[in-house]
Amino acid sequence: VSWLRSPTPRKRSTKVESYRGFIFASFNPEVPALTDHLHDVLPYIDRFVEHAGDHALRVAPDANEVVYEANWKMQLENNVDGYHLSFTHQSLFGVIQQRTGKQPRYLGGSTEGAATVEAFSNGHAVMDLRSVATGVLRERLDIVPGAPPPGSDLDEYFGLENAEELYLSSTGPPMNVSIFPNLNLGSINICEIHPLSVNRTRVVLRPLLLDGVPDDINRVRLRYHEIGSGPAGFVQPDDVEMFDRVGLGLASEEVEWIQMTRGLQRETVAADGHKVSHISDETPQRGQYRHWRELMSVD
Amino acid sequence: MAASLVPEVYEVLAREAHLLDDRDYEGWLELFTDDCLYWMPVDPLVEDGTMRLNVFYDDKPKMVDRIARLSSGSAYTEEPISLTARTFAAVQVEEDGASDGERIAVRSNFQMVAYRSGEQRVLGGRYLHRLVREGGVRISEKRVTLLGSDAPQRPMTFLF
Repeated sequence: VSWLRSPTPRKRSTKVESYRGFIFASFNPEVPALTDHLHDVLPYIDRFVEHAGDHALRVAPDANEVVYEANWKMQLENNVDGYHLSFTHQSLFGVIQQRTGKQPRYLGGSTEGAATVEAFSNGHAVMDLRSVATGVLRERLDIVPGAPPPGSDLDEYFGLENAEELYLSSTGPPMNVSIFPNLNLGSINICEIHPLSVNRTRVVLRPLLLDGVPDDINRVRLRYHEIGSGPAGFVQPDDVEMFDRVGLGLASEEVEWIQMTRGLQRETVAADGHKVSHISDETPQRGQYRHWRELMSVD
Repeated sequence: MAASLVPEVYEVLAREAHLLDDRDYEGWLELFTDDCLYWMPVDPLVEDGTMRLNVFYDDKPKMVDRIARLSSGSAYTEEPISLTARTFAAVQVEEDGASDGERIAVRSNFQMVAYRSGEQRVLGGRYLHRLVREGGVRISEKRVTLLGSDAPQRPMTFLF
């Protein structure tokens, strides 16, 4: 009864490849080979996938999804922007401070030993918080509903040896790996950016659970993810609000240009050619737009 | 027996609705037991949200955090604040043994209008309240099953 079915969808040749379990697809048959496209960020993807040692990552069956009223590149920029953290998310840091008595700090004054942002080929970028985040993320675990009370014996609580390492991995690797154009790996989630129109975007956050661990470990990961993510979280809605506001501002016809030069004078070029700068600088965003312009230009 | 509890239960739900719409957060918190749960599953069919992803899954300390954040002046989705007005109906006390004189499970439907920045949104769904007699009647669990909880949503950082 094939005549009852809806018409065959318009045929589009799709190119599909995968790396470490992540499946990438493109409607452009001329797209470069996946590992050529990802080239510089391959080690960062590896590090993300291996953040819980030998335990394989498993995507949770549900996702948090939000919609914002602005261009898809707002979320792309945001994922590797360190500057907005202490302003946009100060309400989260306030909550953590109130609960733990400790002031969460991401932005050190000096450049030395501070967290970095890095811009790679093909518009990829990384925000690397490893040098500053361990204590901050530990404090964030203390406000997770149903987390082991501070000071408890973690081996006993979770019923396994060396539970602390596994427990601390609940916050994920302290870095965001932004894969051009619409994927981010950060915290313990996969962030997909879906443009719906030029000024409307859907963002999907899928938390990652671990294989071969007690349920209590994955329960903490779910509760940790819920603190920030989703339309009622303590983090993501405030980003959405900022995207909406920026979208409104960009719709203004009065001003044609915006400036994106923050940190331009102090970014450095590494031996392999990628750019590195202080976490508060716009180095990744310049890289993203440089690549975007290249793709959107006709010779 | 359960039907005779409806007037008392209705009074509690109405009080809660007004506390929320008045943004009397402290008064709202006092309605809940110390070991309470306030949650909204992503998957509307989930019975137990412990091992599933939720839109929120708050114990009492996290409800306190939520309110502290809303009151901080830097939860930007609520600057300016959302005004809300909710109605509920079809209040029914569960008859399946989940309810006795001391513990009551109550289902209802709700509809909430949220107003912010010149725009009204309508959100609707179902409530499940578990109530206990502890001094007065208090809420030990409030489950919010929002229509479309598993679809993309605009921010909804006000309280349900």
